[in-house]
Amino acid sequence: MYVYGFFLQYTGISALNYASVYLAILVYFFILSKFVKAHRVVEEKLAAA
Amino acid sequence: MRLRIPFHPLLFQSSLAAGGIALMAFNYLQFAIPHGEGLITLSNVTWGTLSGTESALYLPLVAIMLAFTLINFALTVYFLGRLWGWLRESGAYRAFVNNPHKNQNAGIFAIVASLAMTVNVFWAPFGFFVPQMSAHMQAFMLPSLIVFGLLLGVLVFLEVTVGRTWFSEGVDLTQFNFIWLLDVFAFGLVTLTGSGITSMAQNDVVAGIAAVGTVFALVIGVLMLVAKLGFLLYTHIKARELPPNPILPGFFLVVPISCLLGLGAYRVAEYVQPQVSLNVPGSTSLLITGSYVLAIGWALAAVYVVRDYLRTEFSKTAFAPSQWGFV
Repeated sequence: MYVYGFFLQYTGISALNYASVYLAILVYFFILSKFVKAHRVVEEKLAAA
Repeated sequence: MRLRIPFHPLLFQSSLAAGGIALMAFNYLQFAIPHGEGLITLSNVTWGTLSGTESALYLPLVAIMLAFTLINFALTVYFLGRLWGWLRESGAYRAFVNNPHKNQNAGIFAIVASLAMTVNVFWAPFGFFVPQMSAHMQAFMLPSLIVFGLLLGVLVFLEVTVGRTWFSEGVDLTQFNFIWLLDVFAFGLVTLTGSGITSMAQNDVVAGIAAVGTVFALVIGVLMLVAKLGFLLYTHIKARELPPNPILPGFFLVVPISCLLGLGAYRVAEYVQPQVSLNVPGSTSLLITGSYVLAIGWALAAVYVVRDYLRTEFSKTAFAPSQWGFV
């Protein structure tokens, strides 16, 4: 029980925390690329109008 | 570069998300690296004593924190400029806040949420890199209190203004979705700002005023979360179908709200208990643990509910502002 708690608290949660930063960055740039694409479409429409 | 798309308050979600990432990296370093009391700074990290693995783990986080702090500041300045132009456009603000259909006007709260996040980025990740700032933290407490008061005042004003429209005639409340929780999210971030001042300020008057404001924001936030979440769960279960794809990421809004309100409650309880000579062992830990358990449970449930969207649709669908909710 102690080993499990120790692992979960100091290794498991720590690793999840660390990984979540990188996951957030990946998702951030993925959504940003979608936004840039959407913006390009708007620009093309404006240029065509 | 100037974006040619029209200004929309939800654009502030990009700066909000950037600030969130900077804080994530900061929080990791704050708890991973032993340092003195208070917030960790760059000078606290003695790189020479760290092992190779530790350096390899922490150095990218420092770079990430710097990059996303700058992104947060740059986007905030840019969007504030756009916001100023939008507010000067005749009728634009009024038309936006008077459109309650499918809770579209809830997007206005992204502005307050993002600005509250920027204040926290200023204290923590920015203070990490600027030693003069962290060394004179107490000098920033009064200006921070004023900013906190302004944010809380604007938030309450918007809540009253926009909240009135949600219950006006002809509004179908059953069409409301989880983006409706953006105001609760803003209350959560303002609570984080206020509780930060409460826990850091050494001046009793500043800390006391911040505590009162924080409790006020916290109580409103918790009450609204309970009422709105209950209502949304009821209408969503009754509808027996998921909302359209662009709205689905909104399910995840409950996660940061729960953490923010929990952290705010924890900090205020830590401040209030000694003031009233009250000591309930484990109560403050229970507050923060409970909120994080709720957040993790909700996140897992939300992933399960929108699993098909995440698996097949998310990568293909066009941009929707609610997608920032994932970050």
